[in-house]
Amino acid sequence: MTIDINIHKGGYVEEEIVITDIQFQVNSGELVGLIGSNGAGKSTTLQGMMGVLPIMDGHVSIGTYGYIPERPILYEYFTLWEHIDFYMRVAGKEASLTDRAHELLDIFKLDHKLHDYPTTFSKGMQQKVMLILAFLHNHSSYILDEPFMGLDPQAMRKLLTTLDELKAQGASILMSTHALDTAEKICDRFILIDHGRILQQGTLTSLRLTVKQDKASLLDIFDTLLEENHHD
Amino acid sequence: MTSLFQQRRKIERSNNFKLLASIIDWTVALYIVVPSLVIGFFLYKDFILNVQTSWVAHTTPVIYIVLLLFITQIETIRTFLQRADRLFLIQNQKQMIKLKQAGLYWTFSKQLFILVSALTLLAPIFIIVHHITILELLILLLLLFTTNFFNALVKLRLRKWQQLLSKIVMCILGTVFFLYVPNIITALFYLILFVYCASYYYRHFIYSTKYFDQQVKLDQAAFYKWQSLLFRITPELKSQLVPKFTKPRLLWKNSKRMFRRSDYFIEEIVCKTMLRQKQYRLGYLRFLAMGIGLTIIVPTWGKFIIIGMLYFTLRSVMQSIIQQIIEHRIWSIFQLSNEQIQIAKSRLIKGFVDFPLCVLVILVIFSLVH
Repeated sequence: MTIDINIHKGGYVEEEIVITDIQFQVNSGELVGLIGSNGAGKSTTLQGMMGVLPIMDGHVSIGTYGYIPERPILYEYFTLWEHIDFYMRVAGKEASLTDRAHELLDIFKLDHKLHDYPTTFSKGMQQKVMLILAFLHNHSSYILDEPFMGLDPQAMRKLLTTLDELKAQGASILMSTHALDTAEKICDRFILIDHGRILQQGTLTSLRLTVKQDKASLLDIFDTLLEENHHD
Repeated sequence: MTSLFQQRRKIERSNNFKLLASIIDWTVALYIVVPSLVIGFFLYKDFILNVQTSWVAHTTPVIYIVLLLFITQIETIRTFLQRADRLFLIQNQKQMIKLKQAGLYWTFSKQLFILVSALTLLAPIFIIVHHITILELLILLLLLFTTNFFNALVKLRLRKWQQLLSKIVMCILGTVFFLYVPNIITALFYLILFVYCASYYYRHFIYSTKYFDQQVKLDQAAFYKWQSLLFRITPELKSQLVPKFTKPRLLWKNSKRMFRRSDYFIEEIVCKTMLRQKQYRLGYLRFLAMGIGLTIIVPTWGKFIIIGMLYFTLRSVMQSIIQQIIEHRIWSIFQLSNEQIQIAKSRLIKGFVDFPLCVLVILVIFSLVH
């Protein structure tokens, strides 16, 4: 078990607690989808896991991790090469462009943009930069906040392949996404979240059993659970 | 209507104050403004005491009159009108007239304050060097005031080249009148000209709404005067957009490391940002250049005070730049320890502050010894 989360409460200001009683684990070699509507508390949960949430009460065990934020975080005055070099240096590595970096640059077709500023790239290209930076090192876990945002179909396929490889290597991956169709296909388990609380968690089969619908899609399950929750 | 004028003045004052606060923090005020005022006072005192033997003794008063006319000119006769007034205020002529009158009196008061201050500062030169009497200085005040008012009126009616021509003519006329025409005639002429200008302004710009759009446009320009000036000096502040160029154009354009050691990553991000971010680069260089310039100009006792001030100023400039870089969102991805930040800060301060100042101190001592 490499990711173990137990957040009693968390938020940005003391007066407004956004997430409450978030408790889950992500096992080694497992890809877990964090599903919820806009403002449900997914990104806040991820920030809480990384220790950057201003108000946070709870326990987080995560190890070393690669992170893709909700919106690309890039430094305006660094080129793509400098971003990669910077990530390597912060991790205490001597080399700038490792074989892994070259491989990722090639996979996401950004090798010709090495000396350009990523902040001038398109949204999709910026997302690709974030993917490259997150996958530069071999971490024990990965936190991905909307990783498919802005990606073209080819890049999306490459990301899915990379996620499969990481899983095979034994990494624990937690992914927040709105792309439910894709999540349904690739995630081993789901955590459904609403109003800062976990509605339900489990595999697709167990969730279908919970809502008593044999062939329900993830969206149907989520809708049903939301409805039930609102009636309660 | 005074309340409307006061209300609009308050908005403008608060706008200017916010702008000032955004570019100057209290450390800058403490390290630059206060010492500059103190040093300025002593330099001025020294200058006045030796005025008869200094280079000023060989100058002609014409220079000062021309200089005063160009420095103290009225940029806009304020009206404090806004575009929306066309909808609401234009129907209430009385209120609009009062607002424009208040604007005119405000412009006059400001102009009078500027002229009196400038003439007071120059008074020792006029009185001691050029033997000009107090009465003549008062006539000069009237002359400058009227000429500036006339030029401001010309701005409202004539084209740019005509304005320039009129300025030159008025400048020559003022100099000739002040130096060669009897005082009483000069005073009478400028008094009549002032009354004529005032009545003209009242007739065409206060009682009439014919030039409403033009007045609004000019007043808006005056309202945003300081912002415009700031943007002219630092154009990158115009927007928060990232640089438009696609590749670094200066040094390290091929994205090489500045520091070979991999643990110098904070130093690397600060140095490259300093190179590529105009605001940071120019901010630092401006202070350094100002400090070096002042060190050359001021007398020996002042040199070390300037160096001391420069040290604290550069230190606070660098600390604020480093802090801004450290607060960038990119650091939310990594966890930096306070120790890492402190070590990097100390190295950067040594490189950007201690080293240039040590060189400056050595140069000053060397120049004093020789």
